[in-house]
Amino acid sequence: MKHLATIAALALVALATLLVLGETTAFGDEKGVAGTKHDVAIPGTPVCVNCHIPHEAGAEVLWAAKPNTSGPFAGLRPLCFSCHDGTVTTIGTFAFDLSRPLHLRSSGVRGADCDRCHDVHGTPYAKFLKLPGGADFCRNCHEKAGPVNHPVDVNARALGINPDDSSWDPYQGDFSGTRLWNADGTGPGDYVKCLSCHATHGGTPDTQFNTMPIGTLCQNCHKK
Amino acid sequence: MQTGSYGMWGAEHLLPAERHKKLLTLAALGLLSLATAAYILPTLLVGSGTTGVKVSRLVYPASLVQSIDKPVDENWTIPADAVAVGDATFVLDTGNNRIVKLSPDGHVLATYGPHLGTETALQMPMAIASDGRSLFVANSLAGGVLVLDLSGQVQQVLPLPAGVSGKAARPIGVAVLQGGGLVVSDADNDRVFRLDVQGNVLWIAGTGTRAGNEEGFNVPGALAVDAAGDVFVADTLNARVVELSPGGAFLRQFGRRGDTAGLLSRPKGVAVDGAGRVFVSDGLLAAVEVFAPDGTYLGLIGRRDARDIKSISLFTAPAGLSITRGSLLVTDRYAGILSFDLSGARHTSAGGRQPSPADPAATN
Repeated sequence: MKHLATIAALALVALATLLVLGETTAFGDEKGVAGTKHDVAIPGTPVCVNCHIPHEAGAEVLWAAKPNTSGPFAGLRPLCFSCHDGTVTTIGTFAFDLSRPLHLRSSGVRGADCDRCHDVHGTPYAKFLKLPGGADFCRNCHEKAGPVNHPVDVNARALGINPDDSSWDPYQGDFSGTRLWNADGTGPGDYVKCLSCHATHGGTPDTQFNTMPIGTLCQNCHKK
Repeated sequence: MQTGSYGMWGAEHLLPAERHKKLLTLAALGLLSLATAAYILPTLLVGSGTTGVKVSRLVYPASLVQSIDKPVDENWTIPADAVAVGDATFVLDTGNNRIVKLSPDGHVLATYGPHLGTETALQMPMAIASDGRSLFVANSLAGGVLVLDLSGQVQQVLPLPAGVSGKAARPIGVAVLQGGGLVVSDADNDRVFRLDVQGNVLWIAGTGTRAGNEEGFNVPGALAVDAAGDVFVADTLNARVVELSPGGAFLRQFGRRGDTAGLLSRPKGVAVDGAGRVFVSDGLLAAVEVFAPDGTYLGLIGRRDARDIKSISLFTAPAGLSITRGSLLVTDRYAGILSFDLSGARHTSAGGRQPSPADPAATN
């Protein structure tokens, strides 16, 4: 009898665990998306379906293979661009200019595509970034880059350094300039951060991720 | 145990129970084979390109006449829309905030913008329409419609009112009415405006916030108007096209959310031809889908080889659509502009392939 009660209790615990895990797996993303900028659903309707387009089993397929499976527009980019193209939102449209450099990504590889840095299902950080750091976000992976190659997190203006070109506004076609940031890297200020000289998407063509060609970039702050 | 020949089915020497079991197994296998054949055969046939194979559900008869991925000796960045006026095509070079006037062979005849005079500039222009004399541009980040003459001179600036929450209008669709006036969509406030020629608002469709069914829109985008004055709205996030009466009342919808034939994922462009057929570009499905006036799905434009189900799309991210003199102009954000003949005539395709005369459906 005691054994039976134990087994029943264990079964109940297992069932409850499965239910919780199942719900988290199935609806966890929706809970994360709800209330964020990616919650584009009409109130009271499912959040997921705008990106996870439902398939109709047995219906006639349009293509034998998914469109855009190769080239620079492959992977997650078509899905992101389907909103960030100036229709649903104007935010980040410049990131889809294929003539400009973009941080390394592996098209269609989970966690290595756009989702290498962004989690569209909601994060505690701005721009749906997966980790903290703001304009120094890069250092989550490139740990040694800043201190070894160039100082970061230093107050440039306190040292008398004022970039000749301190604007960078890709929405107006301005992809050059050295931006200075506030201390936590979330807005304009006086500090040098990774994104002072680099742009992970939308840099100047043929400069990897620099906002200016290398000579101009240095002289923008380090004047002769 | 019996030895020797079992004959064709191998059952004549078995005991009754074993025979029964074997017959059941064979019957099950037979049924399974039949079901598999029934499921696979149509797919194989559609993909085989055999004469007489039914492909019309997948392919709408339209011939690619010309494709221009970028202007001769020039470039554009993520163009959103284009309209043909006379021999010229005006392309919205959205990423560079300008309009590119193209010759029929793809040479740049002129560019307008970013600045148009001292006080006006193109700011992420998303849609363009024309009545043959003027150009009407949905100037999205400026919150209004710019009216230019064909030489790029500003004639009018038509501002749109802010939404009920105070949010500025962000027009991303525009269409010209035959009797004069415009319809304009406001993506950020989920509304569609009917304007007279002076820019006065005659009616507003939509609730001013995200809505669906017959009440409103969820990011209304591209617009088109048919000969009767009905307005067609690409309701982007509701994955459908809504048809409104000339007075702005809901009439019907085309498509619903999905990724198979006749369904829509991200409708980006809409156009209506003289027969009332509705053409919808889908940026995510990389296709243009065609519907009859009553909503019946007619087929797909965009397959590189109409006779091959495995054929890839001609498009990357199709967006703006317009129809002039029986020709469908598709603006693709990455593939440039593609022109299709809708009359059924055959042409040598610039980016496609010459269809086989044996297959009348294979004209895409």
